[in-house]
Amino acid sequence: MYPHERSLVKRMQDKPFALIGMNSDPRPKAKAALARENITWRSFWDGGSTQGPIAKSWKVNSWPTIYVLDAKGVIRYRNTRGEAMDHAVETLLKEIETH
Amino acid sequence: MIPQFLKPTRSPIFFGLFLTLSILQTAFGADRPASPAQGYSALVREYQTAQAEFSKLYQAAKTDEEREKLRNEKAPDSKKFAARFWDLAQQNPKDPAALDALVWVTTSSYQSEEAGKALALLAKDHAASEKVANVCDIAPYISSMASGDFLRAVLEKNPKREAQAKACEGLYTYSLMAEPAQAEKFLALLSEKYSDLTSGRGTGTVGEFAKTEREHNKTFGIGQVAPEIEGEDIDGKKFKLSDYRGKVVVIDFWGDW
Repeated sequence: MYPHERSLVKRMQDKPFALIGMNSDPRPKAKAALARENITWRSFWDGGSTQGPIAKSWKVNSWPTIYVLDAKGVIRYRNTRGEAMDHAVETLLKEIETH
Repeated sequence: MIPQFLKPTRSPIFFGLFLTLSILQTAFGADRPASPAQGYSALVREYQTAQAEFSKLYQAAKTDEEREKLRNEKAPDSKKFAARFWDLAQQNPKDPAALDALVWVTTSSYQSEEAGKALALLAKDHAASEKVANVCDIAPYISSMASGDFLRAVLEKNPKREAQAKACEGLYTYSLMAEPAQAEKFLALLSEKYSDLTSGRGTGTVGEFAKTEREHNKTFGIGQVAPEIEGEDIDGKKFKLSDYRGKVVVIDFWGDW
């Protein structure tokens, strides 16, 4: 996960794009992961477990789970990864440019 | 009956030749290439043995360092095996073992390069086989255009309802990832035709899975405005999802394991 996410964030740094994590680790473990994996994007901290309030309200029961939102905040894709994620993001960025 | 000309008393030269050839054939018989089925079984055994050895050592390990070392040095590399299974399938395309090899590649090494290629071949030649049903569960996670084609081929061509249902569940999952406009169609098909069967995605029936999904999609489905998230980051600073309105956002539920 991390290498692909890192390169996506880097490629998109001048574009209207944000990768937002939703982390389910105890805080010290989360902080260690940020440092070790060179995670440059922001994450919500969901209370330290996979049963946190946000994961529960979004009914997340398998990890990782991914939602891709367009610039209007509308959910457009679910569990897209790798190249498919790049393609989804590029498609939604084009929508901003053409409207 | 030994032919006249081979009888030792009649023709020592021919008999000598016959004996030599027999000995040579016996000696080299052991090296005659295994059948594709034997080759496939041998590879499976080799992989399982390597896994068992690794598992034994891993469980006996006392420190995290030991465990990491084992993971780096002794864990069998499923991708290397995928290449070998792929070669076996390529070299014996008409043999039944080729299908087994392709199924192995997709189900035991879904992240290998060969997995996408194997899916394409399975779609083309084996969509109607009962052996591809389980491949449907992993197909959406195989990073390849072939995933959608494979699942559609199974849905259209496979005679077994169970395989069709798995393909349809796979297509629903795949659609959410890559062709979201199609997701609703497959969800509907699941309810219409396969409700009674066991779901590969949850713990109940296909009908129950579809019902849960429909409920979930009321709030979190494709086309819904994502609910606001208000929380704090890992350093404790407060922020909101709506801070990012105007940007394309990927929300990634993750943990470090």
